[in-house]
Amino acid sequence: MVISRVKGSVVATAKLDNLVGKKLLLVEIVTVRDAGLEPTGRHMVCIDAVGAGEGELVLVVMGSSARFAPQMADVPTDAVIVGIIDNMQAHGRDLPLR
Amino acid sequence: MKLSRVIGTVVLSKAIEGYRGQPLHLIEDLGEDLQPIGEPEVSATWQAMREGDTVIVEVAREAVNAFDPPLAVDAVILGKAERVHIERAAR
Repeated sequence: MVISRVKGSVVATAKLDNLVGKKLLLVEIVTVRDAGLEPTGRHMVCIDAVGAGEGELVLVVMGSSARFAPQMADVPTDAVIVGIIDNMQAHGRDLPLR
Repeated sequence: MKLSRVIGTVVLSKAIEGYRGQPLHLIEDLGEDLQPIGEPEVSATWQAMREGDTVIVEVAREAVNAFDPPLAVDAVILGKAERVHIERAAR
């Protein structure tokens, strides 16, 4: 799974029936460096399954696995936010999330 | 499957059903010389590991089947590697 930060939302009024009622969020993938978390500049659109908000650090499941999240079995998606990150440790120390 | 090393942990404040109590690890892939390559990622696991452990990781859709009922994960630690023997080809 990849770590991402929520940057905003995406609104689509004309869309596939299976996407009706799904919240779409724009996220930026972040990576872990020795100094902490670092934005990658790579963005993607995800379906939010947990009620995440702008600025939060989230966990995103990618690929076919994403359809195993609740209420996603019939949804054509390859990226679902499955969790909001509370804290992270790497190399024996806490990572600042901001 | 691939070889990776555990470098940390991730704790969620809110998650979908099935993730409660599920340990999550930060891992990095290992190259032929067992040195880290690529970007770290987050993996579920069959049991909690320790930082520095070398592990076998299943990725993509197949990772879902490590759990019953299936869980929405795209990476899961299947086991801890005790030893890795690399046969060096004669040059």
